[in-house]
Amino acid sequence: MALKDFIETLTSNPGFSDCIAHVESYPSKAGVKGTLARPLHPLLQEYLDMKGIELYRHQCEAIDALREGRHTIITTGTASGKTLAFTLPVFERILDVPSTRALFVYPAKALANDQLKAIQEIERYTGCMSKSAVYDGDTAQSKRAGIRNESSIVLTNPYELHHILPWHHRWGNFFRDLAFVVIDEAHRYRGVFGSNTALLIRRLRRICAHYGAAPTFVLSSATLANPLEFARKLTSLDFFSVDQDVSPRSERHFVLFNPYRNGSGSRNTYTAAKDLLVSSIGSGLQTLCFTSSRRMSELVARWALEDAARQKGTCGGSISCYRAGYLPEERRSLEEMLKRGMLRGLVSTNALELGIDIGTLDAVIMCGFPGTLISTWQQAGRAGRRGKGSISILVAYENPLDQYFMNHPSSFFGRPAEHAILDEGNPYILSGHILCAASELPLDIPRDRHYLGNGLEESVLALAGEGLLRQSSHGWVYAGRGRATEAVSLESIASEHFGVLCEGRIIETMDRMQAFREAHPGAVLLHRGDTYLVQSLDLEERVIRVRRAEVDYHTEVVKRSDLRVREERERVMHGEFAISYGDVEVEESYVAYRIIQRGSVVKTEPLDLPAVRFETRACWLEIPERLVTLLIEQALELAGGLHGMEHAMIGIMPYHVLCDRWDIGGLSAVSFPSTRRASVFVYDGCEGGIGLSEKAFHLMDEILTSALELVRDCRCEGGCPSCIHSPKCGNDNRPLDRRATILLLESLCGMLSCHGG
Amino acid sequence: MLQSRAGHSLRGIAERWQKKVSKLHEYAVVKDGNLFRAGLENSFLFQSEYQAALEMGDRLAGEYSGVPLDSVFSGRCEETPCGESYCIETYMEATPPAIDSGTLSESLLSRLTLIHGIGPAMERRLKGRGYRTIQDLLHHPLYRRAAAAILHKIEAREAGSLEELTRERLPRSHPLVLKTSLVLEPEKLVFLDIETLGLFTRPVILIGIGRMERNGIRVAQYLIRDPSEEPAALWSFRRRLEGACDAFVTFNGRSFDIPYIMERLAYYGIQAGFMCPHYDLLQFSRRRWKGLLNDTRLRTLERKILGFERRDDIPSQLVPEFYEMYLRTGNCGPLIPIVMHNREDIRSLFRLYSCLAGEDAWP
Repeated sequence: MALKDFIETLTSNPGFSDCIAHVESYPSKAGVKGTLARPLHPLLQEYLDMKGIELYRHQCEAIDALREGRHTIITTGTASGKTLAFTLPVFERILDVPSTRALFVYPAKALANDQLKAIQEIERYTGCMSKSAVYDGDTAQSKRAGIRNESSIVLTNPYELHHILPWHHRWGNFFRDLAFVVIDEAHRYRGVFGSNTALLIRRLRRICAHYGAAPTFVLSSATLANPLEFARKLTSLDFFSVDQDVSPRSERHFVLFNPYRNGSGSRNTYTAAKDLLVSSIGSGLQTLCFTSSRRMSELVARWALEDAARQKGTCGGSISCYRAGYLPEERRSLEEMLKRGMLRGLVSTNALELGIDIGTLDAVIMCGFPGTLISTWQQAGRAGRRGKGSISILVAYENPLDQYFMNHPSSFFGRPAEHAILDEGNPYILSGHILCAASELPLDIPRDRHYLGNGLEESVLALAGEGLLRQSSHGWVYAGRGRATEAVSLESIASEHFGVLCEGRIIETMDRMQAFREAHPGAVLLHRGDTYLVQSLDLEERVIRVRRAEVDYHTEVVKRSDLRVREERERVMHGEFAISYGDVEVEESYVAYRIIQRGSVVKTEPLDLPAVRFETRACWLEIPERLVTLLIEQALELAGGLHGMEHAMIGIMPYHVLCDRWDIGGLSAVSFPSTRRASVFVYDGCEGGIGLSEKAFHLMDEILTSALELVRDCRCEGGCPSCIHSPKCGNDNRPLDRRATILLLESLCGMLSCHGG
Repeated sequence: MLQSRAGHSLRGIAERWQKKVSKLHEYAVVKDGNLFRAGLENSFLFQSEYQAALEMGDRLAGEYSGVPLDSVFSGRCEETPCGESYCIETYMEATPPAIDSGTLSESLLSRLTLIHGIGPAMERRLKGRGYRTIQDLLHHPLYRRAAAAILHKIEAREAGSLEELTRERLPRSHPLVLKTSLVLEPEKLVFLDIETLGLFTRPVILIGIGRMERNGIRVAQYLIRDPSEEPAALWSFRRRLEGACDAFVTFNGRSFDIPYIMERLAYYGIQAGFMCPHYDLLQFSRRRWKGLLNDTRLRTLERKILGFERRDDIPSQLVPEFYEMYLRTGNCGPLIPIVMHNREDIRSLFRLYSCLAGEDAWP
């Protein structure tokens, strides 16, 4: 038993066992079959029989709900048959009522193409003439009319939908008969992209209503902590949730592996991953290893090969590196070698999540927490063949979140996932979609408030003041110079765009803040797993010039923030401890960047960039006077305590809400001007806010508790990168006082629990 | 749930959108040429043309400062259920085309390929075997029935079905397609050209329609004095064509004018209500002068084929800018070149039609 051998090696070999923070084992379990309220259409049942599929209970729940026209969100795990759970009722309806139309929306083109194959298989088998087709930017002009007029199922992506809506009259028949809208991979619609998509979906619903249709929505998503809330935010509809996954599972092991368990030792994340990879393959397990960049993938693959050659093991020559951008034939040959077992190990960037069909392997090794629990479980899901045991290993980085999980395995395994956050009320994003909606149908304020919010009139008047909207007998009409949908990008906020130029080609665009953060001169920019060196950032032309560079370091920008409260919106008191939430104005200056090689800072270079000023939302804590006195009595440093608390809170936030560290900013002050108290702020890092600090306001007790656990349970003496040091701190992580941080967090958590949440 | 946020200045946000949207003006109307995005990159407008046009705008704004719109255009208001529309009617002298529709039937009858299932190779074979016309095929064992149906269509001399038939069975730009318009009374042809605020999803500014009348053309132009008048103008336009339009003649109207109007009608939820044959002269011009002209923009055709050059015209790309100048200032001066430009377009459309349809055979 290869798996047993490998686990044996891990637990007995001190080089490994010393680093094991936790092993979570799941026994195999049988699936729970379900029954439908009434039998499936005979052709579909035949199809299932032919494939040898029996439906599980959660699939039946989803099918029954969709048959009744209930909006349904399915958040069961990977390989639990989500796709089938919504395609069957769609096909059933098409078979019963051939004029039925359905829209399937995927966040990326490649996904739509993959799914089309699965849908066409059902079509072929059942003889259902639904003529399903992908309609996106690559669809030939000559095929478009046919798809609009005849395809029962149209697969597309949000970007295309954004451009389709203004042409709704050409899609009139489609919208009239639209019965289902499927939003697959719904968890991806979070943050700015999600907020834009939420408004796009409202525009879609408005058009459907114009044609007299009210389609049933299906969201298919990775596991979320807040499926119903999220579904409502994304669509403004009420949903039925299917989240009890009863599909069968083989035996699985999940290992938390901490190379930093005894402080910074001889190994780092990557060398540890390499050792694990070699050992796993040596035990006979086909293994997949995920890294954050292509460069690291190549290094880990190379090191592993060298090791294997030295040990004269059996795996030499059968480890490969996979990156995005392979040609289809290269990809196919790799897939083939994996399937035949000729390739024993594959090292990849997380680009593998998309577009390559390698099936499943025996073991997965992840270099560092992939940022979200969703990605973690998706990557881990690559291990586990039917009827065979599997193992996944998370090799920690030195950062607070990774270290928090290493020290608190129950937090990692005890909760399914994060809260997915978006904010359809961000005024920058909203106003763009108001323009788009007005270019689709004249705006009727009483009617369209229902889709675009109660503040619609004010926004309309402001936009009319600029001549972008004009009043007509039929409502407010779009009259801007350019096409509204052209001006609105789903991935950014209204501000200007910077193009990243490499060899004369724009490889991506970003907004100003992202540009300053990730693409300042000298920065190492990661794009689809490749590294690029930024040569210049032209503020006038808004062009970032980069060149491809294989470097073995990365850069982190150093930021200073200043903040002013504009309006407090909510405030709760826990005794003397006040937690508030409201509108703020932030000024961020990117003052320098650090060059980091193998985990340590080798150099800091100054930056000369103008400050960025923006309005956003923040959540803040005012520390009671009594606590300040207590700190002073104990000769602890207040500023260092507050600063440590701010870092710990920001470090732990991604555990609670789906976001990147950069999506939130923080600030602490011993005496903040407007509160006149010792205060700690966390704010949304983008203009207008996307709901992160609002969520933080509501989850504050959980955030403070986990921040306390993070700092208290760290094994360091006076603060380290695993707890209160922040790589982006503009004050060089000074002052920081770990003991003061712990005392503050302990006392605040105490006040929250005794005064109620 | 979606309350507005006092902390954010909505005016500031609106200003930012205005800035962003106005930067998109390179996507302005390119009336002559490829309308879709690929073609937009090379929207030709020279600096000198641009400069001259702006100077003309300024000059007109100066001349017409304080002059009421009505005294310049002397149009008349039409009542509609969507409010008032404003129509400017003019009559222009123009020589009607010398057209002989007698040979049309003959030409059609000799095209065996009009029958479904007969391609050029089969046609050659059939002609070799003595089947010279569709009438001859009435005796053919296989094509007998189809030939009868086509013959019936040709004898009925109904433009709609003939146009559809020829467009389906011949290249779309084939001269015979255009010639099917000859079965119509010339007065029933509608020469259509619109001016807009941009490329789709924005208001129409002016809808111009021309019809032959005695020895000239009667032009009716619905001018949208304010974007709020657009639905009324569309309504009037539709009403005017009801039962009185047998075919459209346009220049690039298949890609632009007609879909644009359809989009705007759908936008306001007004029933379209007109379905008639449509002769897009751009397509025919491309075929007729293929290899002889560098491009087939209307301006080029006027110069090289029709033999005249416009004066005091503004480039189509600048129409939205002139209209916005008018909206901003309320000064009707900048509207004059828009109205004139549209009228000239219709006149050229008429001449071009006479030229193309009047020729016996194209090279």
